[in-house]
Formats: sequence, structure tokens, C-alpha cells
Amino acid sequence: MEPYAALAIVLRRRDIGENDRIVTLLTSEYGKIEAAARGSRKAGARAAGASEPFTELNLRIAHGRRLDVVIQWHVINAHGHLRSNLSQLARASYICEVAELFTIDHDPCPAVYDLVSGSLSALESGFIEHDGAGLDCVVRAFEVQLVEIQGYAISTRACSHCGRAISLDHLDARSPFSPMLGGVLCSACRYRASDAYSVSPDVLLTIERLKTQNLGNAADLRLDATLASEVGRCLRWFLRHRCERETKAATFLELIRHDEGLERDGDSIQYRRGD
Amino acid sequence: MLHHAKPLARLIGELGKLPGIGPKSAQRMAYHILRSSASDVQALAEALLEVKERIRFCAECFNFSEEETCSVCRDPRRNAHVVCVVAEPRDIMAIERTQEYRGLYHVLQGLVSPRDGIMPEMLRVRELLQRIATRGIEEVIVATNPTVEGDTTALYLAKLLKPVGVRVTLLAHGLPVGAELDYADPATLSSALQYRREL
Ligand SMILES: [Zn+2]
Ligand SMILES: [Zn+2]
Repeated sequence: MEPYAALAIVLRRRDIGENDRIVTLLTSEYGKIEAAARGSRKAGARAAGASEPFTELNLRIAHGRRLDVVIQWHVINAHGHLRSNLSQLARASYICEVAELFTIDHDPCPAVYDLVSGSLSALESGFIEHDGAGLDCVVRAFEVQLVEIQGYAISTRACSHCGRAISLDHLDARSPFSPMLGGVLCSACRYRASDAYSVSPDVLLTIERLKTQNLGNAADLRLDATLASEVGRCLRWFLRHRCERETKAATFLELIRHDEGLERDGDSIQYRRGD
Repeated sequence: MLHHAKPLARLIGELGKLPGIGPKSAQRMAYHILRSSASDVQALAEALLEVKERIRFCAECFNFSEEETCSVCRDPRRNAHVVCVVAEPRDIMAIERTQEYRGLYHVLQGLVSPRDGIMPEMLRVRELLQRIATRGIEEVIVATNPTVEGDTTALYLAKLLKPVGVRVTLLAHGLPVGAELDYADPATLSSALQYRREL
């Protein structure tokens, strides 16, 4: 079989043998794939820098018996700036892990590719340095849009149990929200989910807004700290209910957010059964 | 299908647990051992046991050591005010080969890796802070790999040590010696630009 070309982002890589790595790639045309990056641990090898996470590339990949092999690396964007800022680095790692968890091998997903690429660029944001709160807005937009693309839309206008329409007009009325059932609940269904808690209409409106938020401006969204924390909580639990395992990078991100004054104690991501 | 005799299969199995050794290499090594003289095999087995018995971590810097502290920490000619932080003992060997550095070391025994769930508290970070607080250290050179994990660790340490009042420097990540500029990958080139130096 002829080698094939792919537009790809390195989500992750692991060492194998003396000099090689296996890269997990998110490709636009072929979905998530794994490929061997031979010689990528030798200092100075082109594949060394190119096989680092966050790198966006044009690749030529040869079919292998057990594993495909990258035979040509052309870097489009190294997202190198991400690696000189801890706040950006922690969030980029989280985004790559969530992208890996929410995609399937060999399932083409150009929309997810664009979303991850756009999110990494938005975190990096050239020469302007956004604070942690701004960067978190990029992460929230990424999360909302990712689950939307992958078919798990967060319900904000209709009860996620019975489907009844919910009005967000009364801005003082809080609504029950169940991450497990997938969103807001009507007052009749509020006891249908053991995990439901009440959220303000602002939280739901913000989630809606994030669905169409341009990633490039997401870091400029100025969310009030309480609102940002409530939206973060909804998404964290929503995502947790839709993937098999905890995101490891979230633990480090939590530590960094704590240092940034964003993570409050007791706001922990730890998932407790029956919570 | 033909099976290996039990003791041979066991040896292949044990060798196969070593890093970078696949089943084929394990088999080749096992056959080699089998063909070797009894005294050579004896020497190998003794070396394996001895290293495990005699080598421990230096109480100061967590380098490998035969005694309570390692030969670097015990050397009075070394500059005890400068500490170079590395991930593994093998990185000390690499830096020593340059003969450029005369300070002490601190081995973290790993790198912060968000994707693998390896957090700073799982490494020898607390011990580093302790050393800085009690040993009159003035400069910390963070010498981690130019990888995402290496950069994460370096930036994390830089942030942690800032309020402590020591000078923190990072290794310059630049172009490999002998490489051509237009062959360099953008990540390397961009890092070389970021960490450029005054002439
Ligand atoms: Zn309902
Ligand atoms: Zn020592």
C-alpha cells in the first residue's frame, strides 16, 4: 500500500526501545491514530521536536504490519510558546488528554481536529499573555464544543429527563442541573437525578454562549469568578460522566489553578460515587 | 509449537522485563548466557546482586551512591552554593562529561508529567526545598530534557523557587551543535530564539 498524507496534532507520545517513540495523533482525515516515530529520541533528529505533544504537522505515514510508521515530518505549528508558560502548558496538556478520551481510533473528525488546533492556538495567543481566568474560558469553550461535536450536547433549554421546555427568562430563578442526565431539569423532574444541584440562569446562558464562542476571543471573556467556577463545575461533572476515566492532567491543572488563586479548596475534581 | 525448557523460559521472561528488551532480544541474550562459561555467568549474577545490595540513594542529592552521601556531595572542591537539578542519575553522568560544571546536583527521580499523573509531590521536590533552606544554596540550575515534561518540571520549579530568593536558571534549549539552521525543526528554533543570549 502507498504511504498516505495526514494533517495531524500530536496528542501524546510514549517511549519505546532505545531511540523510538509511539505517537498518538489526532488527524483530520483518519481520526485518532497511533504511529511509530523512529529515531525520535536522538538529540537533533527532526522527529525529536516534531513528535512532541501539541505539534501540528503534515505527515507522510507508511502502512506497517503492526503499527504505521511516520516517514516524513513537516511541522506547521510547533505551538512552542505554550511550552514557556506553565499556565498555558497545564491547560494544553488537559485539552490533549480530553481530546484523546473523546475521540475514537480511525473515526474521521475534522471538526474535532479544528477545535483542538484552534484551542491550542487560543491558549498560546501570540504575544499577549492571558491570565489563568482567561485561559480557563478557552478550556470551557473547548469542552462545550467538543461534547457538542461528539453528540453529547448539554441541555440548557429543555429538561434533560422529560424534554419539557425551560425558560431562562426569570433571571433570579435557579434550575436543577444534572451532569449525569446531561443538563438542566424541570422542577417536576428535579428528584430524578441523585447528582442534581441548582444553577443560576447565567450558568446556562454562559454554556449556551460557549457553544458558538469564537475560540480566538474566548480568553477575553470576562466571566465573574463565581460564574466561572459554577460553569467549570457543570462541565467537569458532565465530562466525567461521559468518559471512562478521570483525566490525569486535570490533577496538575488543579494544582496550577490553585497557585493562580482560581481553585478553591473543596472544589476538587475527585469523583465520589453517589455524589 | 516448540517450547523452551522451563529454566530457559524463565530467564527469557526475566530479561524481557528490562526496558527496551523485546521478546526477540530477550531470547538472544538468554542464548548468549547459556553459551557463556560458568564463571562469566557467575560474575554477571554476582554483579546483579551486588548492585542491588550496595547501591543506594545519596541522602543529600539522591544520586546513586555506595555510601550515605555520593562522591560528588563529599568532594570538598565542588561549589556547594550551586545545585543543578536533573531528572535521573544518568543526567549527572552526561553533565559531568562536559567538565563544565563544578557545583552539586539534585536528582528529582523523574519529571512532572500531567498526562501520566506524575505530580511534583511524587518527586524529590520537598527535599530540594529543604536543601535550599538549610544548605546556603544561592543558585539552582534546572537541567531537564527539552520535552513537554522537562519544560513543565522546569517552569514549575522556577515558579516554586521564585519566592525562596535563590537565583533560578534553565538550560538553554538551542540548536544541536553541527546542525544547519534550515534543517532545524521549528520547536527547536523557536526555543533557541526564546533563550538567545547577549553577545
Ligand atoms: Zn422534566
Ligand atoms: Zn549526593
